[in-house]
Amino acid sequence: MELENFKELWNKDTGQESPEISLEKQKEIHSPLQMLKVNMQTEFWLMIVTLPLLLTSFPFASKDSNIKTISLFVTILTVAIIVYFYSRFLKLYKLLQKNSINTNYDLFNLKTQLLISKEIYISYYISYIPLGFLLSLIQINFHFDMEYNLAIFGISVLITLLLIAFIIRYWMYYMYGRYIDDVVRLVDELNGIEVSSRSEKKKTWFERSQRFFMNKMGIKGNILNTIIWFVSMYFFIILFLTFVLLIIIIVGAKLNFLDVGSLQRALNKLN
Amino acid sequence: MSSPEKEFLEKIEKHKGVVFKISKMYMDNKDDQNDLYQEIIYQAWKSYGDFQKRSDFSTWLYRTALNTAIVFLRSEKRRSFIQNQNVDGLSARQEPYNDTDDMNMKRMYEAIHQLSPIDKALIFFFLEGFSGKEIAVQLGITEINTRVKLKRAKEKLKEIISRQETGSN
Repeated sequence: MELENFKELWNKDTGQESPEISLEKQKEIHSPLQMLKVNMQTEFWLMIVTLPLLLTSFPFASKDSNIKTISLFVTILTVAIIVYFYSRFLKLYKLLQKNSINTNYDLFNLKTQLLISKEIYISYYISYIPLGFLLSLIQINFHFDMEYNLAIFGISVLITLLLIAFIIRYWMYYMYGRYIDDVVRLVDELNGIEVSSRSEKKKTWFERSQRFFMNKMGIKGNILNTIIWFVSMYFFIILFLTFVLLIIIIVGAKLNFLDVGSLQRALNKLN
Repeated sequence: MSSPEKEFLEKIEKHKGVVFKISKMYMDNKDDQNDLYQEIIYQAWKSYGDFQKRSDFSTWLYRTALNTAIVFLRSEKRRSFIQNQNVDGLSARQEPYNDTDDMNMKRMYEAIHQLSPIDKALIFFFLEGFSGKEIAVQLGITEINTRVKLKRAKEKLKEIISRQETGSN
């Protein structure tokens, strides 16, 4: 069979077996930008519900009114940051119109929108670094003079940084990055930029569970998968850090790097 | 039914065959083909207000259809977003055929499925009889780049066909 036969065959195919025309929106997600929108919406509500809870529950257990006031301030600031970044993203999403000038323009437009969304998302998490810094200061009541307070402060800042690095590296990739990468590859291919061949990677647990839930429940399944992983990540991170800190304390106490009594007093002073 | 809706549906009716052929080029199973077809119609309807009648309706529709198909996310049931994959042609080929055209048509689509989304778009324009210059305008790349890409896409397709024929002999 030659390529010229293809033209003949193509013309013979009338495509008349096409389904009924419907102008309704489909229930499943079929566009990368829509997928990003749904994921971002889910993450927005998860953050709005969980973060203020976390930020207020621990410090509000304190009897110190200063700590309560500062915690309230941090919570309001956090909610404002979440709302600001999410509204920026929505504004960007609304800007995207199907101009359909040509394929390259449309794909490049989509790529740019996606990359800007990614940058907004990264800035959003980076904006938590000063907040984390502030929270660490609250934890030690702004006093560096007491033994181990500096260590507690340092560890709190380090935890914030590690968390943000983890979110940017992994969470962002599975929620948004993999869809963005595909579009970037298409634009590169169209513009003659060398595209390395896609290696077939083994599916991660996140992808497997996403597939499972979306098979069962469509868009709602995707939202459920995000909620499950989001909440699991909280628990995992808390358990992991508790475990690491326990190891440090046990090893430190055994090797006499740490004085458990002083550490206990420093921790008691926290709240 | 509103007047623009009626107008749109009348216009689409004339071209639905080609739109479905695009769906068949990009998706290798019936469910995904139907999903893509519906998505194309929906996207075209959504952006119909922006259609300025500066170009033919068919040209605008094909472009919208290809843009949708290129970035289309398969259903998670059958997910394999924008990646080349071997179609389930082996089992399909063993089915008995009464009609040579049907069999060749199936082989043609099986071969096209193995191309990248951009190559599929080039082959679509080639099969629809667009000139190099017209394809360049539609894709938004230079004519030279278009000719080079189209030549490569055709070579890839020839290679796939010859592999298919070797495999079936």
